[in-house]
Amino acid sequence: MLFPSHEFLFYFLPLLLAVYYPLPDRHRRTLLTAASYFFYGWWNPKYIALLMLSTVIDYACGGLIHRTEDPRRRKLILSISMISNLGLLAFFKYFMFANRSLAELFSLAGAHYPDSLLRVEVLLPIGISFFTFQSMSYTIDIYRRRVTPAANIVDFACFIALFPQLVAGPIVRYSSIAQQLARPKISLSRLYLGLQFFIIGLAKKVIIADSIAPLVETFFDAGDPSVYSSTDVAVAAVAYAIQLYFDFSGYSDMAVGLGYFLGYEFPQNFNSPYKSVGIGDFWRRWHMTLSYWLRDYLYIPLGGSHKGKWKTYRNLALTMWLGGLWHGANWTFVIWGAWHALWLLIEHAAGKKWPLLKTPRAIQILWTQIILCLGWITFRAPDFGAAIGNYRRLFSFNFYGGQLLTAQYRLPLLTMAIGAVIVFVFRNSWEISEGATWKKTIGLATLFLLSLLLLFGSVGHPFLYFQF
Amino acid sequence: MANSNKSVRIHLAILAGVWLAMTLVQIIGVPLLPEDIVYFRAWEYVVATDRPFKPMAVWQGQAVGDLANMTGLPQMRDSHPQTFTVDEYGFRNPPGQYARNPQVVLVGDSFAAGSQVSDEQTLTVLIERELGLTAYNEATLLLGNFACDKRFIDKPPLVVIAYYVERDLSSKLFAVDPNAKPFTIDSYPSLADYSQAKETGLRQRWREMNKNIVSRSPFIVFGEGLLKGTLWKLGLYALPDKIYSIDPQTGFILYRDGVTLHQHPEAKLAELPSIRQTLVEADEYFRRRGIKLIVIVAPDKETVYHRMIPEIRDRNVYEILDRFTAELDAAGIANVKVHRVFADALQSNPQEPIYWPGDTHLTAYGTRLLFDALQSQLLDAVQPNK
Repeated sequence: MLFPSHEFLFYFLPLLLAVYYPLPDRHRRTLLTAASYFFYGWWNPKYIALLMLSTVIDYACGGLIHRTEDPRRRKLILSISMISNLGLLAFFKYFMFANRSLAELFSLAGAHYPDSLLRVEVLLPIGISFFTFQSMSYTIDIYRRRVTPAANIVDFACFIALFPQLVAGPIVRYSSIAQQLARPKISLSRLYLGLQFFIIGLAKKVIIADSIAPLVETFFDAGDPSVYSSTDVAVAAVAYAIQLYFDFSGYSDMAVGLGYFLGYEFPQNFNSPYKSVGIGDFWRRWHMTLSYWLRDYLYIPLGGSHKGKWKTYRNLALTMWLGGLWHGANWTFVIWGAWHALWLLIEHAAGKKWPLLKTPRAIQILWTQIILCLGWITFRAPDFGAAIGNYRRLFSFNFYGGQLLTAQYRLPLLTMAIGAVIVFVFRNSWEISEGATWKKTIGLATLFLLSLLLLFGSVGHPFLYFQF
Repeated sequence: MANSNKSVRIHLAILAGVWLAMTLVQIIGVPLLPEDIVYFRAWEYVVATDRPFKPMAVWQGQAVGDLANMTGLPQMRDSHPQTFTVDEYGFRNPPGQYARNPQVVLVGDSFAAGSQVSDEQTLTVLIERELGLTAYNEATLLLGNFACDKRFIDKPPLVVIAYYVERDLSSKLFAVDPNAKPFTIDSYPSLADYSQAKETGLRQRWREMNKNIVSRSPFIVFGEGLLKGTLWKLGLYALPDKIYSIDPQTGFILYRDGVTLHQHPEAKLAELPSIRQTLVEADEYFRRRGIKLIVIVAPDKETVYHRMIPEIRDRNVYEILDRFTAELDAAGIANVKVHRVFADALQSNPQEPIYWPGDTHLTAYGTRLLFDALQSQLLDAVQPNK
């Protein structure tokens, strides 16, 4: 079930809230868990079993780690939790990728790859990258003695399955939500805040991201790519950058808004990332809950920046490379991760001598945008060959005959320009969240009605981050 | 938050009120809207789950073209009155038509069903009225399915007309498997209204047949036109992928698939020999059953009006149908060269539209031209000694 859908906006959410509010806290968690399973099962009920399996294993592992003092035994139980989560992720997300890659490798070597393996189809359960990461952080934090286990399995199941952030984040840690689970805070001001976040998120997705989608889809998915000029590649890369930001941050805003409806406060996931003045800065502002997760559960355990220059570089590169792979089972994501790692390493190695730091802020932002957009070309490409083709076209410096600068794409181009102004000039949804004014309320009501009109008066586009 | 509780309450009430109002529009609005408002022609309104149309339906209303609907632009809706009647089996005939032992059966796609023309303008009604033959419309159906329809195994007609449109031309339309298991199409004479259905224990069946009525949102009914109409006025409207062009003056809309076919005709031309072979086998099969086969392939609107399309205006767009009908002639299979009839008609009477401006299908005039081209062959075919 998508947030911007009839089923969610007009049936699921109103009905849930109508039952949820009158209930005492304890029953609210049970209801919320059941509703979250229903929400998740809407796509494919079979995958509820997967969610339950992950929940049961980590709840049991968390409890056992907490009750055991023997360090070896604690480590063993943690390993079971890690293997089960990473095993699920590896099988459901990366099996097909590994299978295809092995088949290609066999073919290059002139060897026969078993047909039976090639015929295996594994479907990717929605949100698996998010809920496995949440689940892992729970057992790791118990192992590190930073949190105590959930009081009962319903509380833990509620944390893992909490529908607002189940399928596309923000990645919530148990430590940040344990208190809230016991006593969700519901108040008028929080409900208003929730509506504000939800409507802004909906508008970001429906008005901006979905209006740009036809241009991006035409360029990346359809037709003959050889007809495009350098201008087209540049326009498509910028369009995708804006579409992806409004799509993903829109989803995160909606999730945060829904959290407030239910009495929970979720962490910020985006902080004006396109105002970044470097790739390091970008990763402190883009998909922040993933960045911090990777920092706390991968980069720092590897040694972080405390074990010498070369090990720091290794840790940075490995973290970014795995971060890239987390986004999808395709070489394009691996290379995208490596591209970001490269620039992080350069920035890190140069330190304060990095020449860009001496330029005006606008130049720093522009430079960062160029690096990011070059990366998005690979990120969005269906395969690496297509990405290489686009780079070739971009650097052919043929600026004539733009196919995308035609009347057909007037609306996406105009929306792109509006999106760019919002991104570079305006404050973000967190910065404008304080206060209830008439101007804001009327603006939000208008945005809501316009979003509904656009949403149900046209063909919808699924959220881009669901595939990750 | 600095605001007082009362102030927040007012602002919250406004936003929650808007949401609630929209929820009520969705939940209460759909059942209150007239059923027809969510449909743009009979084709959508009387659709059924297990047969072309729901049995015993009668649709009378202002039909809107399929292309016009795809654009979402209210000003392109060239609505025209249409009556669409469905028999007890779920095909477009008056009830009881099958019991009259049809001499001619028409199978095919939406063109054969007469999408966009009224009952009295359909090909089967013209055959009945003007040639005095009993005719049964069994569209939409593949020729192979007709071959397995137990009704016509028990009582074979004299002639079967297979009538499809050019862009869909393929072997699968005409493939007949002599060993396929015959099937029975159930008759539902009591599904005309709910009370009758209830009395005969078909309540659930009636619901199944009518469930599509509430499947769409009022937002799309009112919202789409408002939204796209506004974008059109602002010069920000983008053509949907399926639409090749819109003439804002005449409302003449062209379908992209019909253009693409002639930009890349190679695949279709390469397929013609296998289609001919399929038809030869079908023709032999029906002859053994004492049924004569006539094949009609209607040209696409874009073929006939190719002069409006810069990419194909100077191409020989009739090549596909010329070669196809020549293949059939060589194989001795009766066919109607309707594409040539339409080309001549367009030249002699360019003002009279053969296709609806906002639709892919034929007007009454186009159907009439087709009937005129068909009638002599049909009369020949029903002669017992020919």
